[in-house]
Amino acid sequence: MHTPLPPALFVVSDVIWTPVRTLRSALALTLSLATGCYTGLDGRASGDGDGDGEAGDDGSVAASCDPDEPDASFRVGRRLSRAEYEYVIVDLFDVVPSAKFPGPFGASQTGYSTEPAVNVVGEVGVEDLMIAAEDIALALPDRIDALLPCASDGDRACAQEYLATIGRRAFRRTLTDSEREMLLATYEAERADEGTFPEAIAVMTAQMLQMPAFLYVMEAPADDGEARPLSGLEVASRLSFYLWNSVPDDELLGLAENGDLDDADAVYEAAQRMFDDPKARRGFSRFFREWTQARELEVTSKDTTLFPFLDEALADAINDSFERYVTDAVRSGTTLADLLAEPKTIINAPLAEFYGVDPVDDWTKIDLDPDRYAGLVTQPAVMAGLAHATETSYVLRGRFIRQRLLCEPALPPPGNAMTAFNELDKPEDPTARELSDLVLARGDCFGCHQLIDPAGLALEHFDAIGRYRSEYPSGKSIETTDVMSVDDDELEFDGPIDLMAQIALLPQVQNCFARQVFRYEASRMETDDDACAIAQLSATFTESEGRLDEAFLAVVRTEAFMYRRAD
Amino acid sequence: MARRLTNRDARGIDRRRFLMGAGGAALALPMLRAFAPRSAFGGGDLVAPKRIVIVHHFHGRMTGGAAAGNAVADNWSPSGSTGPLPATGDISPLLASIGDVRDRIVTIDGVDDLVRHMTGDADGHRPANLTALTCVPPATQYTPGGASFDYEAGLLLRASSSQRASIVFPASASDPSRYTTYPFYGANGTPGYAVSPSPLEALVEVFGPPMPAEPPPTKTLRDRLSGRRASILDAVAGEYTSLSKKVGAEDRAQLEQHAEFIRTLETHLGGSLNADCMRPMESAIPAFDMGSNSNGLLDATITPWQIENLVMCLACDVTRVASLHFFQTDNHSTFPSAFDGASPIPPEQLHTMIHESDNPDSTTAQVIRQGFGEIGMLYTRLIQRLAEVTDVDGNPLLDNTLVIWLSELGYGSHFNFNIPIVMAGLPSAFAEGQGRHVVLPKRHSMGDLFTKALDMVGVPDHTFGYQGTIGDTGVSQGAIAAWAGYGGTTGEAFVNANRPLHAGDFEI
Repeated sequence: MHTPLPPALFVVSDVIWTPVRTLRSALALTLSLATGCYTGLDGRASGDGDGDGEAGDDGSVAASCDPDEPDASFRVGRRLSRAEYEYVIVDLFDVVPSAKFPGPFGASQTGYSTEPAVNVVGEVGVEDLMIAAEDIALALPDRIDALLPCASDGDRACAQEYLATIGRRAFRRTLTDSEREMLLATYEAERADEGTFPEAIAVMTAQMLQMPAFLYVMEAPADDGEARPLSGLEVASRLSFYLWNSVPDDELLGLAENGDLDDADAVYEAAQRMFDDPKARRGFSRFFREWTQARELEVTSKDTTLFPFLDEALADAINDSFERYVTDAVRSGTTLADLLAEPKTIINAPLAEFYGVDPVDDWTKIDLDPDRYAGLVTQPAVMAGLAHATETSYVLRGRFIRQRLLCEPALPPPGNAMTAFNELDKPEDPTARELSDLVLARGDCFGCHQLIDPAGLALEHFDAIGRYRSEYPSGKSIETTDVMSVDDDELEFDGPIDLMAQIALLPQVQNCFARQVFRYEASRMETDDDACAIAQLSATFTESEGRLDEAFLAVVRTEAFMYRRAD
Repeated sequence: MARRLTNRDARGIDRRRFLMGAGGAALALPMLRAFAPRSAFGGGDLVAPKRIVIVHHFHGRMTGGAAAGNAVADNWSPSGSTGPLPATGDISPLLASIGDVRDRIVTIDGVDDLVRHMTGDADGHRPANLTALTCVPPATQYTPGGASFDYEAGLLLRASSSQRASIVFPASASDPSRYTTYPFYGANGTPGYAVSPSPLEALVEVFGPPMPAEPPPTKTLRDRLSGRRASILDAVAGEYTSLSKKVGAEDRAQLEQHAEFIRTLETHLGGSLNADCMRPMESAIPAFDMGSNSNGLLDATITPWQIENLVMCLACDVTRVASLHFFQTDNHSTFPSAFDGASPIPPEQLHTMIHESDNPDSTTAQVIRQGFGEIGMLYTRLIQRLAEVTDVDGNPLLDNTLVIWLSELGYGSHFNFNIPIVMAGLPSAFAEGQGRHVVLPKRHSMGDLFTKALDMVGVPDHTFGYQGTIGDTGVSQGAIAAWAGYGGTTGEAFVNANRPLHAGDFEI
């Protein structure tokens, strides 16, 4: 069984991986890339408090949604993302996905790799898709017997069976007569040209994998002014790509085709089955990776002269640990607050050495030192993802807290940010706080960095690969006591543990998490039209005391998941 | 006269097989990765790239020049003033053989190789060869100061760095060991890239080795996938178009664009549009004895095949700038086809005879003029073939190709003024139409000509050649005047140290 490749991770700012040799240059690069600060005092994106309801004390929106009007939203069709493609290929054919399949490009507004704008097909992309399809086709003959029980018959009827099974799953529905005839024509042409049955199936598959029914996730439009209920097949597609990052299985398609996905309860029941399926780990992993920007750690992304102990085994362990950790958290009913605050992790032998704890033989869930670690944010995968090749980035980490945990909007940094940073008179081997103080002393930088820096500086105990350190390599001490303003409140904290413990309890964090899950599933930013859905998600999340599993499942209970409106 | 080639003679093997084969695959990929012609959003016609063809022969107008500066006194100029070419009869004594394409050409008087005067080299030919197409002072007495126009234009027009900027096709199938590429030069003044004077060898050099006579006995799966590409893409594109009608506006835009890109890809894989891109067939090319052609005895027979290589190079987007080089007109040609096989031009005497033809009415000049008809016939063949071949946009290839027929001299006796220029093709770039003769109201350099040419093919604001004055290299005024050798408007008063190399734009 082929082990699926981990999902290709998309981060908001890929260029942070440009190697930098010193803290000064690293921070200069970070400053130029930081997406700035908010200027609005409410710090909320549209749809959060802007709807018909009033913002409550806890920051949630009590939307006055019309119970007689389906809460439908608009959704743009999109091409399969690179991550989805890889899982689909493994699920359908159990072959190695092609490296030629185009990955995301450009800036994702949501931070999630399924956003339509980052998966647009360009002129070269069409060629890449063709080659990717052919790569899969080339690998198929060796798999034909496993994929098709009738392969030994090697006839048109068996080719039709292929389309009725593999093709049906690839297209997320039964093929139309014209699609079937077109693909069979290719099959017949190859057979007439003395092609073997496996070869003819392979060539037909190359065609199938370039068709829009496979490559694009699109739904039929609604009439103007109307809210249209999704068909069962459309719901099945949404469910499978959301929870599995892949195509529906036969059971789910069967439910859809039989009309058993036409009501919310049936959809929820199907979602629960899919939630418990091992494939759901893909969805959890991708969500948390892209939410935290915990890009898959590669040895080549860090300076191994500074981190000589970082090898493939440790990098793989850090990556795998993260996925196990988040999957376990979701499945075990962990709350968001606990996820952010509880010092737990899952380790193997290399990670035991990394953490300096007792050795283990296999993957083991452990408690970490509560005076050092604080849940998700201090996982090495996250800390390494929010750092440069040689040093940390208090700006990236602070921005993460602001934008990804609190959903505060961001504005681009001023054009002279890099110039301004380079003009600073910096001390020898500056600490992050020393640099922050210099930046804050500039009037044109103060406004944003007063908001970003405190949270980022609190995490300075974790170096560029997420390893805990008591002091800087220069011997200078790490100061993590600070004050962070959140709306009208001032959070005084003493270290990252205290900071995360307070942040974990903020109502904004729960509300933000609900919005992040919405964005992840919908592959877009929420709008005013999504206020009811967001409110419903938030309410469910709050009622469950912030259980992560409830947040994921609550999405499929919203009307927005079951209805769509016109463009 | 040489038998005129027909499409049947030149028809190659199946286009798809050609593009799949070893040599073809190497072609397909650069085309694929290239800055492919982009169709208008929403599925309009494909846009063909612009090409340039340079046709070069030696010794300029070959005859005349004694009445320096007086264009009427030579055999080349159709007229002393701007106006339509004669509708019937000979365009001019020297251009009598290109009458069949008179409606497609514009002849131009008033262009000089001024850069030649920036060198102190007294040799009559060498400085001209080094400067006429480069338009920069030579680096040394024997080496040019840069690349020639064809190469520089090719860098600007080519689809990508993987596409050759320029290819020179020797028109005269002389002994290859005697062939040199001047006045064509490549990067940094190195010899221009030229294929073999033998059309058979050139064919392989440009298009790769021939496909097997029969398909291989067993196709691999990769062969099958490659072979189905065009039909699969065609079918898949239809699916995008079909689905686009069933979705909302924003989704429709995505699908339509995807379909458009598939069509572009399909075209470059030998899809439905440029059916005229064909690898010429070896078996159709006679087995010429190259060694017996040292005096151009077979030029008229051999050159059409080289023309076919050149035209197909453009049609198949192997390059976007190609040159037809009548190398043997340097001294070797005897033009037998122009004299029904019995040329009165002795071997290796052409150069001498040209020098004896300052009087355009002399007997020698008459012989030269008649022999020149062979060049004109082959030029006509080139123009007609470009007009016959269909380009990717469905129009004749000639419509997207600017052909510039020129020389390194104006007159055979080493005069660098009045370079004979014949432009053809690219009718859209001629505001006043074609079938005309133009006498430029003021004199212009070859640099101005090439700058104009770039503008015509869609590369505006790009000045070609040295920008300064004749005296910038410090050549003495006396020497400058000595090389001038002409009076009147192109005499000493015109060719002086303060004369700028560029006089600006001009209308044709």
